[in-house]
Amino acid sequence: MDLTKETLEGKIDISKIIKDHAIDIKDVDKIDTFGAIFVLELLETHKDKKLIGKKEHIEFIQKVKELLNYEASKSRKDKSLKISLMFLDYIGALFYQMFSNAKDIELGSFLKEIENSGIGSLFILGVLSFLVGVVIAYQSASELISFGANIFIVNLIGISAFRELGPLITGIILAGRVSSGYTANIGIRNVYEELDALEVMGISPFVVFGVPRILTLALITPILVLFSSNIMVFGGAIIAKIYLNIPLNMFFDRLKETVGISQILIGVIKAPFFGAYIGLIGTYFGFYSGKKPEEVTLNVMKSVVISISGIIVIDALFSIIFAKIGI
Amino acid sequence: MIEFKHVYSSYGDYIVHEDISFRIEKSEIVAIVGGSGAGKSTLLKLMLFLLKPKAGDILFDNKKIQYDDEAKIQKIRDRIGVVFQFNALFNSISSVENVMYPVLKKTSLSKDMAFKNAIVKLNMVGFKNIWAYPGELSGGMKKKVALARALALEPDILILDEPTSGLDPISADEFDNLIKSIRDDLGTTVVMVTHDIASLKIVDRVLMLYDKKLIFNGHPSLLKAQNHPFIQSFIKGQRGHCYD
Repeated sequence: MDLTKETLEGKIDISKIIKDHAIDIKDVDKIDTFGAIFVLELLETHKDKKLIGKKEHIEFIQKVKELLNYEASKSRKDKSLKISLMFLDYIGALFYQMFSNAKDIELGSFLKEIENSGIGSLFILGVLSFLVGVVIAYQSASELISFGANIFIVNLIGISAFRELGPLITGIILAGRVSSGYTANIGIRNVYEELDALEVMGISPFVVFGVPRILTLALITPILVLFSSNIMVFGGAIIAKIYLNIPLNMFFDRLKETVGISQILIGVIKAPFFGAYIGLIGTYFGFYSGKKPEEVTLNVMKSVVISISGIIVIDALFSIIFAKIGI
Repeated sequence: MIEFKHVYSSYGDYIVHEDISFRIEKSEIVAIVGGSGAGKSTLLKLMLFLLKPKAGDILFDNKKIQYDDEAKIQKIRDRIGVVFQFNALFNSISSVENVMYPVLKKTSLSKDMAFKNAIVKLNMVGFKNIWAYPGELSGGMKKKVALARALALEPDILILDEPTSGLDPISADEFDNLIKSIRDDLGTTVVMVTHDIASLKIVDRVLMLYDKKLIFNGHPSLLKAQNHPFIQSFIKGQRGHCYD
């Protein structure tokens, strides 16, 4: 008889092993680690019985018993508080480095970021904004017709696009496209020790890879918001012409009357905050992603999720503030 | 245990091995050495039956491998444990779970049994931090976990692909000694592909590949007496001093 993983997978007749005063494995020909664990479990259950068997098998079981010690699981500490504190620490370090190493900030980095994050986002932002405008106009057109309120499509599209949807769509697209890119880019540099190399040279990685990105994003987001809102309105205007017979010139004349500068400013005011927040989150998760490639992938996911959630929260906060001050 | 009889292998038209014959006995430690591109990894693939020889036979326990019987091949593969060059650990689960994994997937044994077996195997390789994730481990520690995982199902044969690559000399020595003690304790046959000539001190036999052929098959102590220019440059080269 064998006591191996193969035999243990089947049904073992333990009456052949458990005798009156002993666990008897004299008839066992072959025993492996699984068999030894099985015998040890029997001995644990039948504490009054002693083990009888071939010398080499008993020695093997003894050896397995010695190797069966381990440290109990350590509970994994909640990292959320630590991450929050590290984020505040990062913002502080970023400001300190920005002012103390201002000479290391390169104009070229800003231009590159305008190209990568700003111009690079225009196509996808334009397409999605246009489609959102089309969808809103299309969905509301039939309702407005039934009330004979066709012309109010201009108010609906104009105010929602400039005040809410333009900034929100821009924020979400930048969070998905740019924040993930920043985390991946800086995280990989961290893995390949480029950040350590900069520190050794006395150059702050925050200044080289953090500051230009955050500032650029804060500066270009208002422009992207205006671009998005206008394209969205254009999408709505096309649908208004097709389904509600509102000519484009009439649509835009009405738009000037209904959407005042204050509505546009409300959207634009939020934009730098969105941009700075996305830049901060994207770069933060890049700098603190650790030295392992798998940690970079995990942090890219975190940065996208936290950026998008944060954009929605910031937007909600602005809505409350604007409501409180009556605009 | 494993025997190659006049094996020829190729990738398309590119010939990798020509007329390779050798036999690996039970409980032997055998090193496959050779320059880059000599076909060492291809030889491992042949041993794992991932590649079919173009000509010749491969025998396992004196029985010829039938490549059309996938179930039989898998049964033989289940008797082989592999430590891959880059460890191939699952990063999303802890070290102990990595070692439990093959037992839970390949047998119907209980989770408790798989856990206890994993503890024994991890302690056997001298690894204590069982709850750590692979991402938190050094190269040497990862190798130990990978070795414990390869041993989880009590294989008859342990195949190691470049086991000491990326390890410092102390960790590499420690790992070599570990391999030897596993062979001594469990009687496992060990086949390792290595560039590390210092590892030859633990092996019983060296198979050296050069220019598609097996140019040496014997105890490492006999290497020095060989006149083949490649063998001489291999053991007397800049890194060959480790072999002394």
